[in-house]
Amino acid sequence: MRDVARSIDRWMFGWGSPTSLGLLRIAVGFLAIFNQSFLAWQYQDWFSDKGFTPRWVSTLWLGDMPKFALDSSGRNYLPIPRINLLGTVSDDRVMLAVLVVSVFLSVLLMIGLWTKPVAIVLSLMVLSLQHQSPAILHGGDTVIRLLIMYLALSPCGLACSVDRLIGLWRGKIPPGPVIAPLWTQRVIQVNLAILYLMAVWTKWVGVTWQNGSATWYPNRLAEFQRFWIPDFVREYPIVPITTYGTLIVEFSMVSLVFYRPYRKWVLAMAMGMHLFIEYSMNIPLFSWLMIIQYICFYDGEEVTGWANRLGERLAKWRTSLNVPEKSPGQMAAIEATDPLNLVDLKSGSRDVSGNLAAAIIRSPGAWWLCWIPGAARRIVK
Amino acid sequence: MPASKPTSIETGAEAPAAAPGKTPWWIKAFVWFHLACIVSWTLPAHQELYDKKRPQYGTNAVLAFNAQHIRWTPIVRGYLFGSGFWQYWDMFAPNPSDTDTYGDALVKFKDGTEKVYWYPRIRDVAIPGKLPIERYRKFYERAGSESTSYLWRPFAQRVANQMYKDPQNPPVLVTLRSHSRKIARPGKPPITDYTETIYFRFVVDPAELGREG
Repeated sequence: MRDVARSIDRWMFGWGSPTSLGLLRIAVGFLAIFNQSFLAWQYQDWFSDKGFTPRWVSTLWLGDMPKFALDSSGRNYLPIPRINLLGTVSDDRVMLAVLVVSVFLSVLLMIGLWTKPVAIVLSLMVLSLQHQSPAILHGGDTVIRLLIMYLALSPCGLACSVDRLIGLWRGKIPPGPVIAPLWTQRVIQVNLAILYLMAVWTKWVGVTWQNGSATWYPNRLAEFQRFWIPDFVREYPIVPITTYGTLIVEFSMVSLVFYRPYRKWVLAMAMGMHLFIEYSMNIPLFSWLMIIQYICFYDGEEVTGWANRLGERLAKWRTSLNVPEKSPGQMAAIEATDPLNLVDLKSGSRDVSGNLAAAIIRSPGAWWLCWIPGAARRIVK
Repeated sequence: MPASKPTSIETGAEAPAAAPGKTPWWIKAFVWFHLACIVSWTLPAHQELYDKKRPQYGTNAVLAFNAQHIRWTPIVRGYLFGSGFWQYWDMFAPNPSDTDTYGDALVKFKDGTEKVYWYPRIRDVAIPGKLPIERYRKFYERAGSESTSYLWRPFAQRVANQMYKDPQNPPVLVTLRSHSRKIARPGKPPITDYTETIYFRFVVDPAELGREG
């Protein structure tokens, strides 16, 4: 028993490469850009006192406690204050400005610039916006809020980030692999497992899930339809297969996914389920937000190992780049943009020689530089 | 680029550069508390579980204990609501919806004419436009419900404000309508017609037009 507790403790609170968290941060930032942009576009409907949900609605919505949950004296009811830095804001223009800033912060989170403060401020903004207009939230909003908050607590800026490149360049971070506490990555994994457990548990009491007809209904709701799907997919005998298949996949995401030999198969099945939902039903961002979290089931060292092996397979696409003399830190920063090892970097030449554009194409960590004209050339010079 | 990074022989992955540190006990305590609160809050808690007179057995006994004694305590609720880590995971549960519903409003103007206010509807929009307007569908799922009838008035006020174009001919009455269609059970003939239900009539106060809701 003590051994079990010790191995759980080691898994939960162990240290390792934060690469998976870094990749998750990029994906969350990318999806947050869309989510916050949509909100900014619709701000008058959702964040204005002239809209569908004026501020007093949120007070009623968030203060709600079902009567059946109150004990006879009502003593267990205690209004809980929520974090909402915008609670007193009534000016639409301020709300629009906050939404636009949140889009900008999502971009910074994605590229990993000033990651820690950006993640903390973005968490507070998203939290405040969601508490300002809680009647409009869907599952995707809840997932994105939790992920941004977890990222704010995590060392996600230590890998795959502009912060890391700047630190290497200035010699403040030693070159080589990084290790960090990974408990936030484990909490994300466990929270995801709780999500699937509760999803399957709450379904299990439903008659349609028990008799195998549940997926008959969502595929026929006109208000959910997105792309065309063949009729046979919506008919028997496929309906019970997809109904029970959903329960099996969701339960596997609580159990078998933690057993390493089955992990990739379970994740592949879950991805298949979410991609089908994404294709056939209009449930924005939710499937993508689920899928991106699967990276947390892989340790950063495993991800780096994949990148190395992929780089070896793509060896015929290698290119070379000669750059003027650089400090070891600067060389490490340039090398860090090339996780697949596809650029043969040599220093000591008088000027930049070799195909810089080809080198950038092969270095995903440098793609963000393409938005700044001439920046890549200036850096390598 | 030279492959100078140290790698593990077994996995081909990078070896750690330094020895790992130790996670402080208070972080461990926080993490277990955090996860326990989430489990307690997200466990199924349907109304029957709160009935203290009804005997509960097996997992239901555990769920009833959680619902009655843990879930709503100031510690669990206070932590999750106060920190912002609250969450619910009951997608398509206990049964997926078997009703297609959309809403609109009939707006009557001072001169007696009537116009239908189009509330964004997924089915009417081309594929690229469906994604951003899903939030309107989700909101209507709640705004059209009896249990949240306090949303009806601001909804109608918003409709009136949006339809207010001519000061000489302002809207005077907004009628909120819901259109629904049941999905027929497997083996039954499909139902194609929508049933219209009027659930709220809102007499527009001219002084409120254009003002905040």
